[in-house]
Amino acid sequence: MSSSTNRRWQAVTARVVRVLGFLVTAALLLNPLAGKTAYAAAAATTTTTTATSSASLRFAPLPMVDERTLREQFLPMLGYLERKTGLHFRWQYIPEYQGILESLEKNRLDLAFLGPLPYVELRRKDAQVAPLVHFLESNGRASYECALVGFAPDGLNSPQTVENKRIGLTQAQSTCGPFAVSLMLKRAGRRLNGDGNQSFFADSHKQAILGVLQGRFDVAGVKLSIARRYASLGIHVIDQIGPFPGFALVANQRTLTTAQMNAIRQALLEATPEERKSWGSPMRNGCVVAHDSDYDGIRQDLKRLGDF
Amino acid sequence: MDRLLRRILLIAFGAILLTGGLLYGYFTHLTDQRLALSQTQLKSAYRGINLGYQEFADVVSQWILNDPENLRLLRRIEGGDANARGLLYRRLYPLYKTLRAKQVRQMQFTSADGHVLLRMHAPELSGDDLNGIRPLIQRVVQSKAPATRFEIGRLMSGFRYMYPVIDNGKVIAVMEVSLSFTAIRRLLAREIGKDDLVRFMIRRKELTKALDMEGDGASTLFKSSYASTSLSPDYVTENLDNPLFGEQKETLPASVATLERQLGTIGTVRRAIQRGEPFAHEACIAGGTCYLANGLPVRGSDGRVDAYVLAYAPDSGYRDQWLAMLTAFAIASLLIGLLASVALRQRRTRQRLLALSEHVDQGIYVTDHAGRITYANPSASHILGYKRHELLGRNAHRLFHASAKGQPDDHSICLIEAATREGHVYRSEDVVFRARDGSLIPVDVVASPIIDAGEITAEVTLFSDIRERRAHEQRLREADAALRAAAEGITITDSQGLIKAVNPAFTRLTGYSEAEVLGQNPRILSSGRQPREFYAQMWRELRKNGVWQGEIYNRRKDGSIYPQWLSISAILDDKGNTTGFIGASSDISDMKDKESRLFHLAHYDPLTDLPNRRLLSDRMEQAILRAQRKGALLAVMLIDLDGFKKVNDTLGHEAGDLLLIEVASRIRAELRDADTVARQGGDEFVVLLEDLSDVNAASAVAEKLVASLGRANDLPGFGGESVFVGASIGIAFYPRDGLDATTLLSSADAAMYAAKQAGGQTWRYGSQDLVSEATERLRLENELRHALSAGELRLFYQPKMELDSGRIYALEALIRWQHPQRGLISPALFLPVAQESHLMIDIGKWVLDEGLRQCRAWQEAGQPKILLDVNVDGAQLARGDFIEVVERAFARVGAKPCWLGLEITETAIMTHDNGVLTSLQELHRLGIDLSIDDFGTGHSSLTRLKSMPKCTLKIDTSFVRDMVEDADDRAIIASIVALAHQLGLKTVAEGVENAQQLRLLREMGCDAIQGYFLARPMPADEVPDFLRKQAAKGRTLG
Repeated sequence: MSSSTNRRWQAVTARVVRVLGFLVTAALLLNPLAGKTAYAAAAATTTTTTATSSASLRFAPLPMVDERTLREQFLPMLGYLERKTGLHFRWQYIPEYQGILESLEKNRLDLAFLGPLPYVELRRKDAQVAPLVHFLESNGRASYECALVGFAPDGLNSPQTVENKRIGLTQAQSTCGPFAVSLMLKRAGRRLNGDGNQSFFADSHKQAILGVLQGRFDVAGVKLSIARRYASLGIHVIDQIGPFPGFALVANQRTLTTAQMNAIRQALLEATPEERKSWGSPMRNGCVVAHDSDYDGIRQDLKRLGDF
Repeated sequence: MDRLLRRILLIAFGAILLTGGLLYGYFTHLTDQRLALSQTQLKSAYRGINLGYQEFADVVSQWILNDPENLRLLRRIEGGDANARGLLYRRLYPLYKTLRAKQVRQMQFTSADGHVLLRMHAPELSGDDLNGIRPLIQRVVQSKAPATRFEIGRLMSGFRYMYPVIDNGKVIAVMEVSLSFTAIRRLLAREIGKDDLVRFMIRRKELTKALDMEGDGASTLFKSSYASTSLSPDYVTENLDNPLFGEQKETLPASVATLERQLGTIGTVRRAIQRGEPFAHEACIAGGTCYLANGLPVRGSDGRVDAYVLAYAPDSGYRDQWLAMLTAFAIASLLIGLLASVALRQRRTRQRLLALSEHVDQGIYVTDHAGRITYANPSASHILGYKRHELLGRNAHRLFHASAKGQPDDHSICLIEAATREGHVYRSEDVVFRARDGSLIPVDVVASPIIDAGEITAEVTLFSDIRERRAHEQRLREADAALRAAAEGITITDSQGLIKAVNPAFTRLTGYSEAEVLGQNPRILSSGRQPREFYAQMWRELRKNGVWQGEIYNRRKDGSIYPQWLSISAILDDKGNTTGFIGASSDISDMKDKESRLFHLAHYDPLTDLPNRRLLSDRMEQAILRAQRKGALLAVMLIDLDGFKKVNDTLGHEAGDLLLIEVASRIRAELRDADTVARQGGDEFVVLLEDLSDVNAASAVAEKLVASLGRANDLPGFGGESVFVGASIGIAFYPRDGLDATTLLSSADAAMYAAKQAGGQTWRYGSQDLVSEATERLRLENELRHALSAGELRLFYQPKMELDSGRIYALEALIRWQHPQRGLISPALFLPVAQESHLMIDIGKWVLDEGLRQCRAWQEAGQPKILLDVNVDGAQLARGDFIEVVERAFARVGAKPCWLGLEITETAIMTHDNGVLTSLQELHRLGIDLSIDDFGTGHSSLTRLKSMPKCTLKIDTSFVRDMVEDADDRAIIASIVALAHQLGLKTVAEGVENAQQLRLLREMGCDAIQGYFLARPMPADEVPDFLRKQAAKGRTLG
């Protein structure tokens, strides 16, 4: 090959390399997920664990509050996890409890932040999900209680007296909702949807309690720790039940490897208070290792309750 | 760029800038007006809402606080009864719910020491101390009077309407109804316009302090409830995505963030916010939407600005007015530009006009209302002979307006001025100006008034010196007259060859009128005789040289074709471009006819109408070329008539001419059309036979010609007697006998000569021998010419003797040629050559001179007087000067006529005209003795003989030679002697060679003899001795 031909080939090769470089750069810049994988880019330089995967892990929290608040609460934690594990996470917002459960079942979701009752409900349908950690309550425990509360001036002091009452509930899937209230009433020989009782969903623990204060409900089932905030208003605990396992990070075992699950669990367990400082309140207090067996009590309660 | 141009541009630029500034100022003013209006609206609305809610809060507070149960519950709360708080909540909740619908977001009770007793909006939060962040509470407690202020709160920031709860004259609590800024914002928006956007922003620092950011919950709450704003880093705004207290979510238009980013960059806005001052500013964002942005500072209870009410009102007027301003600016700029352009154009026009007037050939001057010249261009100065400064300020009319006679114009009022002052344009070609040197200049004048603002302020006069034009027009008239009078047809075309004009001669020549040919192409005259290449060549030559001339055949209107001589010249403009053509044509039909006739005369024999020698030469050349090309055989026949001379001599030239015409006709009749017959001259004809199969074909033709020409010729007008001539034909062939015309003719001539030698009436082929003979003759002729001058000729003398006396009475001079190489040459050999080559005249003179000189010499030597007989050729006699020749000879030699005798042949006398007889009579009168030589051999006419002067008849030798044996000869001699004696003439017999002849002659009465019997011809030096001897024995012979 002549020298002029060589030069021509060199020029063509250089041009091809330049064009490919430009196309790759453009693809990276224009990728709609580029912003969402910013954590991955940061993690690529600080990976310290052995877990590696080029696929993004899809995460969704329980839609307890608006998406923006959820992002503020959870994204700092996901960033931490990317840095620690080298895994990539992709945010998914699913506005319905039921939607989250279906997504996990259909492998459209890899990780979810779930309360105990939703986990048990899910697990009952799909054995391929597993809790990685339980997040601690502000009191440092990995569990919580539910209470049946009433307004003291109303004179309701015992669950046995709950008949022909208006009962305020949070949400159907909420642990402290129909499930816990039914357990407490059953224990007192009363029934949620019997004994002349009427139940109403107030959406949240606060609204359930305020409903009692405002005289709309006679009693309400709420988280015990929340009920205690209203003690200065005459709200008193008629009955309480628990403890139930705390909120957990649940993994889809069909889509995640054991190594990945271990890496995530280990990273969360190793998070220091300083690192958790920017996380949302549900996770800020730390976590402990979760086991499916932690939910056996609930399973037993459910079994006991039957169809509540 | 010159100064004026710069000034115009500067003014235009300044005007545009000024216009822009004014328009922008007006636009700013309008904007400020709108801003001020919108701010006023905002302030009014804000104040109105505050006042309205003030009254509303007053009513609410009275309603609550006038209820003793409420006061009792408050006291219980103060006393630490938890149930009382819940009971008060339950009691007031319906009212609170109603108030929420009225945009009231907070209602709370605080103890006199600043601790929260009950928050209706957050009942679970109570007991906290608000003293540090809510100074208004203490102010109400202290003043025991309601107070209203904006205050940043822990849960909500807004307008606080506070009322003291007085129990027994003591303030036990403070009731507060708060209107959240979200609520105020919505109310404001409703008040000032549904399209307006109202925002609140709160001072970050104070809010952080109120929320106690050190606490976890507060931080989260802050994050979720507030958002930073681009307007100022010191302030935050509501988070509409996550409103507190159950407020509905709002979607903030994306344009707001853009707008606030932009406002944040505006210095005046930033500084106003920093200083806590209201601001109003117009701002536009991408997409062209503009807003009137107003910021109204909200002061807290301590008088510090804690928040801003922001109102963004869409302002279509801004853009519309901006566009209107831009449009107005563009229009104004355009107008200014147009004005500048017009000014520039005017300036340029003026410059151009000035330049034009400065360089135009026409004289231009401008006069003011008084007729004074204010401007004069160089041409005016040049034409009039004045310098420009001499013209400026002078009255034009008085200075150079003149009458045709050269006097100053006697019109007291200038006609030019008079017309222009009336507003008319004055035009005249009959104006005369007087130049500075006094010369009169006829000029063509156009004068116009100059009107400015409807007033005639001046007049401009243009004039041209038309002397040259008039001369030119005269020349044109002359040229036109010449053209019209021209005998030649003139055609003028444009550059495309289309006819523009023709003259009358053209019409006469072609039959076409001018109207019929205008716009036509001259090819309408084409005869079709000239091929296309002819015209192509003509145009090539015209383009190359600009001229063409030649002969051409054209067709007249009546269809007849005529030859014409055509000269075409290109008409060029100043740059040498062809603008047309002019053609001059003349009918050359007559000339062609004459030419044709001249050609005929030059190339054809007028007598026989056969090609003459010149044309023959051409045709021979052509025939040779053809034969050479084809390899064919060509025959050249030279025909010479036998006996033609005799016809001429006897019947005269007219008969000879008729005979020649007949001969020509007969020759032509025997030939093919393609053959050529030419008359070479005299009785010689030449025939060219081309494409012959062989030589026999030529001889066959020769045979026919000999036969044809040998037949009798009846010459009309000549007595009906048939004339016979023969033809001797020499035939030469190309290429055998010669390769060129001269050689072939020589060869044919030699052959013809051979035929002649053979007795005529026959033909001979040419051969080299014959040519040699001819060459020999030619050489002899040349040598003979030389001999005459070289003295090689000699005279011998043969005596004549009278029979009755025996006296030698005469000596006949006989010429001999003493050739240096060949010796003595017989006259029989060279005299025919001399006759053919016309040397006989010169030889005759020499003989005459030499004989007379010798005769004189003898006489001077003492010899007895003796007659000298000299032979005279007929041609000599025919010349009119023969007598003078003889007389000059007498004069030269000093001889006398009586010494000389002349012998003339019978044929010469008989064939020549009467002039010969006249000459003979004159010679006889001079005393010269005359003899008729060779008498009896020709066609003697007794009439002519009778009219002859007295002479001697010399009986020809042919009769004498056989007279002894031939009785006829004797009879003829006797008859001649008898006839002579009857006519009184003497006779002499020549060629007498013996005594018997002498005896018979004496018996017949012959007077004298001459011949060998008496003496042979002898040189002159022998004559005296012979005479002496003869004198001694004279008696014997006699």
